Amino acid sequence: MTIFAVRMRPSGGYALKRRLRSSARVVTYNPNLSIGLLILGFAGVVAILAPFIDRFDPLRLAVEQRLTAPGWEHWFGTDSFGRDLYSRTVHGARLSLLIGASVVAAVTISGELLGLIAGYDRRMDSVIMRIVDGVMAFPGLLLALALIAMLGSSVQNVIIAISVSAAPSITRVVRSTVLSLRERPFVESARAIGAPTWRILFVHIAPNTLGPVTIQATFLFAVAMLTEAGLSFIGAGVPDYVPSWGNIISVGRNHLYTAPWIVVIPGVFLTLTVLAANLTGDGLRDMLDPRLRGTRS
Amino acid sequence: MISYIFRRTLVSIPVVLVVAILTFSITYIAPGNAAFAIAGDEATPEDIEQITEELGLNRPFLVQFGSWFGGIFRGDFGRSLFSGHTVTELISNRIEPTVTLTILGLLLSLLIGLPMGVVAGWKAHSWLDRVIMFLSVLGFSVPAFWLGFMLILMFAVGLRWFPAIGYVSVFDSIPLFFRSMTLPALSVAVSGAAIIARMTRSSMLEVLNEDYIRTARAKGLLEKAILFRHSLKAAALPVATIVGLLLAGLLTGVVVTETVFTIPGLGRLAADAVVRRDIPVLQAVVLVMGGVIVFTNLATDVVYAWLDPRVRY
Repeated sequence: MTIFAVRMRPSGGYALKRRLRSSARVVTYNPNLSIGLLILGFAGVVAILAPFIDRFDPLRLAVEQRLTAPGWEHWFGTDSFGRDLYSRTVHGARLSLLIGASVVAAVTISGELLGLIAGYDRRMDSVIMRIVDGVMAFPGLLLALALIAMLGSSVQNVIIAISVSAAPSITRVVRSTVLSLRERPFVESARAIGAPTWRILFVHIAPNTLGPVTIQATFLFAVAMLTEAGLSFIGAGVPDYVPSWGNIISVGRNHLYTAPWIVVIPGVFLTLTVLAANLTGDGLRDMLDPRLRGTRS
Repeated sequence: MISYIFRRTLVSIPVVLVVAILTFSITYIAPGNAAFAIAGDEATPEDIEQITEELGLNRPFLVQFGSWFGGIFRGDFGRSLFSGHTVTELISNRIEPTVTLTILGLLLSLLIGLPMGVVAGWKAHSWLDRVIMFLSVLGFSVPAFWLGFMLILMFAVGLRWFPAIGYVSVFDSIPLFFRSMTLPALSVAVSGAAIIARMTRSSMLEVLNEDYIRTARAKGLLEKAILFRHSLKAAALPVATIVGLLLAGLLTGVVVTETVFTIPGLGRLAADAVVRRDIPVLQAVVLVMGGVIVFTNLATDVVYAWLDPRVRY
């Protein structure tokens, strides 16, 4: 046993060292990806732990403490209703990431399906792509705005509205990937041995679209968070009591000169989180498809 | 060329139709009847009845769509439910600030983005390139409206160079117009500039590898001439193709930024219409912006085909 242990130790240490060295290489080789994932991970932890690390109820009104500057009691200050901005910002991370993730999930699934169909079936292609072109013709935020006006403002409806306006992005990516994949020999041979269409689509083609889709989904995550903030800021997003970064900034708008912290702090968090998502997307693109380095569709 | 324009215009027609149908269908996605959504939570059945009657919501979908779409060709978007003014009147009152801000934003983003992209592509993989590329990622990560506030804090409150809010029409006073629009235009231009810088960089990288650039270098041309005479022209072409896409992004920024700088434009009109559930106004703004983008895409494609004859076939 001891001999075995003595033998194991150096090789175990070596493996560890090698693993450390290889992860160090990832950090230096692909700083975008590592910095992006680091910030996103941090935001994720904050979002999950929000109810445990907040200092007050984010909805608690304390009018006697309104517009307090950042200090020991209120780390990020308070807004015009005396609500603690540190707690609201922390809960805002939760909402932003929730909306980003939900939009990405909805758009990826629907876009993957629509893109597969459009890329494989000529007749459906023209129908789907005309609708996609139509949706693309609207400024994304404006379409979402109109949808929310009719659906009513709630977190769920904001997710639906942003998903609809963002659906074309993934659909287009999947379609163009499918168009090039369907001519490849492995698809041809699958067809030759008599594989049914659904099998070719979902077993042979779909997995190969996941690379480009992942990259696009990361950028979409960023766009979704930005759109939610923009909608909430102009008063057409999630209901105004919900702690969202856009809502906090919206309240601060009227107190920009006397209480600039209300606007500044949540904006920094929003920008950093969106930046992290974009960096991650860039990093993934460099990793998955080095030819595309520096481009952006 | 004429046949290309004709074919390209034909392609736009279904898109315009889809845009119109989508805009119109907005009324239909409300749970229950659109009248419920418009009337709000405290409406009596009589209110709903009246709104249904007024908007003709009890007619078949196609009839409603037909009369709405037909009206648009006569410049009739219906009446605002809130103020009673015709929608056409409201839009024509509000369109000027949005148009001028968007044009200014587009010009500014080209002015910032193109040189940055050229330099980044020229000095590819240097520290300068890295700095520019980082600024570019930062550029489309910053929300335009928040950037607007930061610019106000810096240049209006701190340095007092520009007014914080307000709008002066370009027809009233040109210097005051530029003074009042510099900060708004800058805040909407940043994301566009970031995208332009990236696209320019990658097409510069491609162009700089071409044979004719090597020839230009070999015959001893100044680097300046190579960059701005020979490469920029070719590198800017792909950028021209995305003007429509860029415009969509810019308009998103404009809609939100108008609230920051209290500019009485279409974005503000749309946001107010949401709060007041003023559906005809909202539909009209959405349709106008969608139409502008479809038309811009058409125009850029035609211009592109004119510049690069290979595209025509």
